[in-house]
Amino acid sequence: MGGTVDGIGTVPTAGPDGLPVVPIEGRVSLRLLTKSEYRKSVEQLLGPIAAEPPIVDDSSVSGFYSVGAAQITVNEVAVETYEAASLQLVQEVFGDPQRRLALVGCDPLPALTDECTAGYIRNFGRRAFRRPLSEVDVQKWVGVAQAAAAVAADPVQALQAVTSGLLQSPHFLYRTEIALPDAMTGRVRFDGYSMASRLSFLLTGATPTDALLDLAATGQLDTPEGVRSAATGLLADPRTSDQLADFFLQLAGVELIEKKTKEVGAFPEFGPALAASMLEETRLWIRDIVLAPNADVRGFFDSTQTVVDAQIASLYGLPPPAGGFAPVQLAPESGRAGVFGKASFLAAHSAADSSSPTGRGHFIMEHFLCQTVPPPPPGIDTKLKEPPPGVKLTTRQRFEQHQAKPECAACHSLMDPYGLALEHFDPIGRYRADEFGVPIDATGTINGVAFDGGAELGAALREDKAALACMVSNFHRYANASAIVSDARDKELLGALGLTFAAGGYAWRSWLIEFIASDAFRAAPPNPPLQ
Amino acid sequence: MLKDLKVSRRFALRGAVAGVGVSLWLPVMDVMCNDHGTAFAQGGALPTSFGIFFWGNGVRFSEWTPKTAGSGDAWQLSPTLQSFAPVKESMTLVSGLDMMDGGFRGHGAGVCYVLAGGNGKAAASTGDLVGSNGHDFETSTSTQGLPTIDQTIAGAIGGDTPYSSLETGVVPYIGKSMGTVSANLAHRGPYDFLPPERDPRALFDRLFSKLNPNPTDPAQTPMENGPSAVSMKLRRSVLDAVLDDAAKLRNIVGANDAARLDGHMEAIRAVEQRLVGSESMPLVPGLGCSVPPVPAAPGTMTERSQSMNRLVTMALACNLTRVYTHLWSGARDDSLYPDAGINAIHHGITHGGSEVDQSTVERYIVSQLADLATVMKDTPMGASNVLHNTLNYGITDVSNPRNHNHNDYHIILMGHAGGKIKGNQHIRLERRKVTELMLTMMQTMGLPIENFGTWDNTSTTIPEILV
Repeated sequence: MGGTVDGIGTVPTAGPDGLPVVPIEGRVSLRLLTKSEYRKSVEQLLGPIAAEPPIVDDSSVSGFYSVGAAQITVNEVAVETYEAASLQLVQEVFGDPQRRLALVGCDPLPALTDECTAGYIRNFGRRAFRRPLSEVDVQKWVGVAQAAAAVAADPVQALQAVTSGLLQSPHFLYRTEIALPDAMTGRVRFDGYSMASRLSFLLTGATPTDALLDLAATGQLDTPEGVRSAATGLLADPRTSDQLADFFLQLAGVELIEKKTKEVGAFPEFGPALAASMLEETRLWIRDIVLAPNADVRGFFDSTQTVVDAQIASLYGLPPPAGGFAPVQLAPESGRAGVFGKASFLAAHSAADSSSPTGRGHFIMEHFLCQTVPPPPPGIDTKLKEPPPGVKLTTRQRFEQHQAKPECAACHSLMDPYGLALEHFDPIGRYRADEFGVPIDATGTINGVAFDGGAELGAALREDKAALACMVSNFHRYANASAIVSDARDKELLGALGLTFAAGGYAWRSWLIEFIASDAFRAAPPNPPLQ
Repeated sequence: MLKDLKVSRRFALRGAVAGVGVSLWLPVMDVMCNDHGTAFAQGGALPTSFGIFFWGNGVRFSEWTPKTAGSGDAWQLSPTLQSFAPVKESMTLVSGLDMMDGGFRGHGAGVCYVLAGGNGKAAASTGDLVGSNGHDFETSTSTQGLPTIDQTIAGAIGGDTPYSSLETGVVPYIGKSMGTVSANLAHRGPYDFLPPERDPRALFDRLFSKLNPNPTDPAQTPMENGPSAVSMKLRRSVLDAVLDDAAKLRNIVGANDAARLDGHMEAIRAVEQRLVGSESMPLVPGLGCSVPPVPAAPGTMTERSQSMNRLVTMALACNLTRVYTHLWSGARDDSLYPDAGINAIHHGITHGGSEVDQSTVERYIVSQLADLATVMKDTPMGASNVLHNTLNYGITDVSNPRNHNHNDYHIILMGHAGGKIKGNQHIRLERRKVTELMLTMMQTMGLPIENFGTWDNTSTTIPEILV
């Protein structure tokens, strides 16, 4: 396991100056905690907290917050919020003598001993930094406590200061992933403590527990079997079910709904309350139906079960359930199936006043099929022609103008069909049989496969190899915080994992264990992807 | 004047002599100026500030472009620009500039070009080049490949103030995800951005709540060993320990993460510096500089905008910063404009909506820039006012959004940069580059830069805007 050294904890070798020596082929990379990871981690460290810590919002890059968190730089505003959050947290915890004693393990009153301080820093520091602190670092923070006690003349305030410092340290705010050269494969392999963090954040959304850090300490996360067994254990943790839905929610881009506005006159019912219900329906549907134990995850595209509360039931034309959300079976006449039937998806990717077949289609191409669409070519007037006075055109009729111009058709003939398949659903995801008395036409053909409506589009994607490979590839990007899958070995691994996915009947949870135990998650290319 | 303020010059300058190795900021007060109020008593000119007001989705020429070019009465405000009447004297409209060979390269390329002189390709340096045929400026991976000019300018002139730059905004970004370039304006490099504060109350808290509104009252000043002094000492020692962790970690991470940690450490030092500054240099209200009233809870778009305009202006009047960026709305924004009576989305209006609505939205947006300029004009600074000492670059991502052109940008400059910009002009320049104007502005702000831009690199300037 190597020595414990200053500044980073356990790495294989330490130089004479006490700084770690990471072999040149090794790789140390930083992933900032997302807002949700921060909150769940401080709760894991300090127990339930009363007030939401005021952390800056995440940035989604390439569709995922995790990719943003591996790229963005912490700025002054973020530093201010990290400081304010840490002060708020320590005030809450240390203000309560019982919580204080439970956290520190010894009573700082009437006098704080160095032994008590050092023991606390060693213990809490390991939990917060996700690796043991070197003795040099323990003593450094003991020094901070001593200086603080002298300034404040109050031992409790001194421990508060140290704790707020540990919570502002880059070792807490970033997941420091250390990967070391693997002579067998020529790639780098994550060390045990990095694996503890990778497993814990991926499956629970929070910093690792003591038990998981203990597995890292005893080398049990250095083997595929050990990782597999730890992942299996974590999948039984009730927090995992919530966390597994996170990938699919981000994949579908449905959180956008919280920031959307809709034309007030046409959609008076739309507002924060309905948007929250839409998001909750999708979250519960993914968690309890799409990701039910042993369920076929392709239900994401075509499942006809969902859950509705009174607001969603009214939007979907169903009788309201007695309590909150209750399961329902969607009838074929509803036209709803899978993600394409979810109001959250339909409303998030349409405009305020239009169903926006291009917007919906573009999103489906980029996120569900991993295809990029170029912007319109130079000098094109993108204004769709206004209909003659007194004539009302359906959305489809207006968007068919795209097909009339060859310079537009090149891309719109790729994007629009996916969006036009969803034309039965208006900008807030309500079913419509017609527009201005003209029956909705939701037919289309993609790659020779004809379909009519969102449910048939979903059924087509369920069988589409490219869509399933895209899901696997997106999960790899999400889990590894990478904008692209650029490495040839990773592509090979994902190809094999795609076969495993199919062979396992697309059961997400069991496939996830295979993914986690594979080199697609335990190892990485020797250098970060091309920057 | 001195006796009215009940504050001595010596007290106001205390920080400057007491600080060791710490750069202290000074609010611009009458007591510190020379008898004419045109310069600091120590001899330096009054600070000039640079700002950017950015909005998404371009302009509709027919209602926007003034009929004639010229100076003074030779040009008149167009229908869209009517709200600038009170500040026309300080307005320099520059129309006709191009992104050369730009054609249509997307809102994302536009925002990289007009804010950073970048070519959009640089924006994709960390991006997904696979299968996108190089068209990557409107993907969710987009970022600025180069620092935006506000950050370049802040690097040169922002060091003596508590905030090297201030980022604000009004309309929350709603639209297609374009990585970091739409929801944020200021960038120091790829994925290194400074997010705008869009809540006036939060901005007030950040800028003014910790400042001492009444420094002449000894009970209000931080005492050597009072509770606030203790807490500041503790916070500083904690931040020092955090910096030490970051510096050690920096030694073992890759180049990309080392640069991120450098930014993180720089941010910690800036926050630390402000702790030192606020401890030894409480705000002394002078003419023009005062703690503004606490903004009302977030209200309508117009109310939020006008609160922001007043806070930004006061931040300049108090010399809290010399560089600001105000992201009215992001590139390719999809917001509604209920305050202008428009219930259709802005980007959608420019692609198939009503042209009248398009102008209505634009008239409303620029009326908020006019409000900012008017507030600046009404806020004294020395013998002049904040607007006189400011140069504001008013810019949008594309020129005519309807045909997706990057030719014929319509740019609004406000202010005189301390007397260097002539004002009251409409300058029409064709087949010239936006980078030429950006270079001219940076030189006006005192940067020793000879040429600028990775796209449309130029050493040509536009002296027509200058006195």
